[in-house]
Amino acid sequence: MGKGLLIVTLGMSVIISFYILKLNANSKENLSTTVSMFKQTKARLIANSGVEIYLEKLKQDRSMMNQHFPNNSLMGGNYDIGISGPDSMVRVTSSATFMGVQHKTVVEAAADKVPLYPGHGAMYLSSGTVAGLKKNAINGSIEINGNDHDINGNLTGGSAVPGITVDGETQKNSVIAMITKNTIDQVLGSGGTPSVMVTNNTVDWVEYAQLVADNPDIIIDTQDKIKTTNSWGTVFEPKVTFVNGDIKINNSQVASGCGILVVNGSLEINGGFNYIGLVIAFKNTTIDIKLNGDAQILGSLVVAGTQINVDVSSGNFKSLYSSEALNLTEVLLVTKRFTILSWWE
Amino acid sequence: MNFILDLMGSSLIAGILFLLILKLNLYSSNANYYSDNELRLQQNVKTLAEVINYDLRKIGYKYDGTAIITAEQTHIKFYADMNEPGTYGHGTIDVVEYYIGDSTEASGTTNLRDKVLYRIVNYTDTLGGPTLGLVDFRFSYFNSRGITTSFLDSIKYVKAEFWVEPNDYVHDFVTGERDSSIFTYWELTINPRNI
Repeated sequence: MGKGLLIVTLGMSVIISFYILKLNANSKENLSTTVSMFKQTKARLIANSGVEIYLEKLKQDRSMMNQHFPNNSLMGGNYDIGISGPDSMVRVTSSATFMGVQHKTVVEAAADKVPLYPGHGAMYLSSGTVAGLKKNAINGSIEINGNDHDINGNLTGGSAVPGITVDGETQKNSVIAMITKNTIDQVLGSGGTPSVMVTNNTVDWVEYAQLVADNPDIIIDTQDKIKTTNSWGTVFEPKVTFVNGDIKINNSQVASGCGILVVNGSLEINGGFNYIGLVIAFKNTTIDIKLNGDAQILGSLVVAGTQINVDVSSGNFKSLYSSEALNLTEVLLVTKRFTILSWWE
Repeated sequence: MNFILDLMGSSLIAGILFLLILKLNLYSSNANYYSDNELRLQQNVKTLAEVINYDLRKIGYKYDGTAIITAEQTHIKFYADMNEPGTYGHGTIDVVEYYIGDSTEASGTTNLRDKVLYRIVNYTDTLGGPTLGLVDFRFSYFNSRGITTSFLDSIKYVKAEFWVEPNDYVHDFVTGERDSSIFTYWELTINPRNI
């Protein structure tokens, strides 16, 4: 009887063991089906990210063209990159491996220069900005001059543009009223004094500013990036600079630059500021210039944000139109953007 | 007399043990079936997802213009170069079409609801394949803001949803009724980079 029971018990144990093993194997296989999909997705994402990363790097360093960059680590996997050109048809091939699963992404992109649209005058104020103008928005020792200047700020005698341009008669009247009230007599340029004129603006400055902001050479997005002396490009090497966030240049700091400066946020200038080229303020930008020193924009200033306040207590603020500065920026600006032509993944 | 009582007692115990083993065997067979079925469902749905995922990501690849030709709930047709760069056939734009057939077409299975998903390349190369238990398939189309759209040139996202059941029904051993409760649902939303 004892032996019989032992045999029955052992038999049942064997059956149960097989049953458990089978269920366990199924469960494992089920899991591996799901994990396999995860691995494929991850390998694809690594390959795609590799392309994005290297296109960004290529923007900064043109010598990377026609080279191979193996064994880059990302998100627990790795990827190899191959870049081949010319500029008109840059091909980036990214081969990623994640836990033994491979994925290949091939992207073709065309590199071209960020275009430069010169402003309409020494200063352009959009309708939105004019609507938000305070009574004393522009006050103090200010010169807004639409006469043409050279790169050093001297008059060239070339064709003049308006000192301030706006979108309509209502805006023009608002600006003139403010200028008259604050006795600002240095709004010069075409059309008499004060030189405030209506322009037929066909440029979507917000869209253009966004395009430029998407392809910056220099990004200033934290106050930590503001040093005692700040250089945002030179006349020999103009740069696209994107100021994003609330940034303050205090009276012990100076900033100078050349190229295109795009501002989104609050830029408060108390210190020295000298910029050559095009300055665009857009989105939720408030430009606060509370000067105790000198600030100069040589080229053109476009204000398509929400507010501008220029309050000069001591020192001078000048916004001088310069076709030479704008031409120089257009010619020398090397910032490339990549337009994706095709994406194989 | 004792011998007869022993014999009857041991027979009773043996009978009970036999019934227990029988029930255990039936239960384990049933559990195995469910487990196998679930695994097969998972594998089938993954296979479908891989195929759809691979193809939909190519929508508009190397094609200039509105890449999606047809955008219906159970039917999508689009232009794309389906051949990998550097392989034979690359450089030629293909027309790829997906649509779901009728449940009567899948006569080889006992599941009356399963359907065949057709993939047609360049109007001629029709690939039906096994049903893989597919019982329903739906496409949805969204614009760049994630809002459903029917304008072909506004489509930026394609969502595919599919429901998969076992190919063959079996009778539940307890109730004796056909089991139809098992199914797997899968959805994926794809943002084809070329549109």
